[in-house]
Amino acid sequence: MGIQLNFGDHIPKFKDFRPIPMDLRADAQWIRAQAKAIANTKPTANAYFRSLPKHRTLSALLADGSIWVSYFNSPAADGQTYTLGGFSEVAIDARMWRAGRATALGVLIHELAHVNGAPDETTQAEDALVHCGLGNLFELHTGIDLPDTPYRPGLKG
Amino acid sequence: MTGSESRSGARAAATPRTRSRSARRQQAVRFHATMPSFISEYGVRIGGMAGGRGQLRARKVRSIVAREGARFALTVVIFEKNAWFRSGGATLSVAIWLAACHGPASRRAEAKPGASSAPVAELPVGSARPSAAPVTSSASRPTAPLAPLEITNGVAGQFQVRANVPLELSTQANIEVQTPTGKWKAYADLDGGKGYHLRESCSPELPACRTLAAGERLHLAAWSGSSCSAQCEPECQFIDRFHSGVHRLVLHACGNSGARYDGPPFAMAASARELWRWRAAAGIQGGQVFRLDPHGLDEKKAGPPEYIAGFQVVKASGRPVAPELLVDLAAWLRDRDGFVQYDVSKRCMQGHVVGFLLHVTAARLEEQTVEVALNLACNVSYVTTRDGRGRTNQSSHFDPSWARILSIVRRALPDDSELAALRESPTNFPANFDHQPN
Repeated sequence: MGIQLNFGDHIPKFKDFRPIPMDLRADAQWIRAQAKAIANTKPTANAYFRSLPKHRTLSALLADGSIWVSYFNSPAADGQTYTLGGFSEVAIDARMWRAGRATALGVLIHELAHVNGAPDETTQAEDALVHCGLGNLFELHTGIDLPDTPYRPGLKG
Repeated sequence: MTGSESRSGARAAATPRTRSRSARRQQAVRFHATMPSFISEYGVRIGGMAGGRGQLRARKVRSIVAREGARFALTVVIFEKNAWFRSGGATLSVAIWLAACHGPASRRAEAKPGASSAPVAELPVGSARPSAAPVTSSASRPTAPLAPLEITNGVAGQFQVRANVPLELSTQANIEVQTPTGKWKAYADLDGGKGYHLRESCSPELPACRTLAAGERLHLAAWSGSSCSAQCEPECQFIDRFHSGVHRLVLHACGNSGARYDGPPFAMAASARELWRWRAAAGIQGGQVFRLDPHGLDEKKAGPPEYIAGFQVVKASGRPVAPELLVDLAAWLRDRDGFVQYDVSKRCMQGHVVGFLLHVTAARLEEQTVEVALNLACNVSYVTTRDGRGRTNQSSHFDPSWARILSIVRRALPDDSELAALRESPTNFPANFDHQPN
């Protein structure tokens, strides 16, 4: 069992986190599969995740059944994560789902970096996207945000 | 000192008629311990001699007390009022006979077997009888009129040490936690096993012992509340473990780890992010408010005045903060229920960023400035303070108190139309799940 998608079979403690709507479930399964493909094919992804404070690889996180992915609707946040009682709850905002699969995948990678201990006051979580092939080194080094990648250079939290 | 030691010490102080021989001996030591501090504080001399010879006299008397278990010890103390008669070239010496009385010999039989028999004469003059001595080993005991060493807690993890008599202390110190049973237990894993140290900065030179003159104060490099990056270790390879709960600082005499000075207990914050907020809120003397460029983040850049908590200051946006707003800001920072109390992360827009540059009371210049940045588009605050490890940053989520901090910010920047237009909290995590609204 790996990371779990909340299709209504899970009740998060934070009531704003809701089941992924029916029309987005195929997208949710696609981003989970794509994240596993990244972990399997891009060595830099696991290497970067291993450098984060909890030292877990992306593969290990994606194989962790105590991590749930839900849906939420917020005017500001693209993704949110909290950890409580051994469970990590990740939610991806409605706007990100609507913006496209790649954008939602970027949010998932960002939030998994937080599950792995990336601190809020740094850009470590967002920089994970570069090492997963969802951003490029030009953006990382210049801070210029290219519109064709989900990576947002300099994003704290 | 363990909890049981503390209780026995309190019992000894409360019932002098039945106290043990060691406790009586300690009373004599405590009496003599106060004398050198009078020298430093008031310029008086003991035995009509200069300080050094006066110390010899005190040591001699105390040796008698220790060796003989004396029932009755006598010390001559001469206070010289030099200043008063200096103009006339005369010196008035007032002799005061002070008797340190000890119980009759018959009471010696009441002394508990196994009571401490540490060689008091070997102690430096004026120091409290360290260690196994429960009455005087505590630096904070209220029964002692002037303890040889005063340990004062600042904001949790910040310590000030003041020697009232000349002391030689080991630089290896301990942070002890109070266990649920009331016992105290020292951490062994601070700073990667190096432990907490009696040091004012994290410079590489650290002798094994530190001599303090009477009246000398030290403001120690603070404890971060964590295990791995505790005092001087800047980076952690692993997730750091934060220690909430009741703690105390324990110092030791040089070369005698059993001879200890226990600091007063203090309650550590619930998390590092709360501790940083406490430190930001403590002793605010003044402050300025700025608008910050949400896209100007550069953690590697220097701090103020160009950058606050990593965000670039918008030029000419600064203005002083009224004292009443600083009071409100400090109260907000200290309010535990105003912040999310578990681990939360948000991938947010950075927008409506406001910075406060606070001037706080601190011993060292570099610690007198605290940076606070507020990302009102995501309800995240970033607090940057300085300690022995340099600048360190902690973020907190203020979803439960969004309206309160927005009110403070609007009053601080009343002409800011962007802030005036904010209507709804962008995120709504509860402070904890005990009080989550339905």
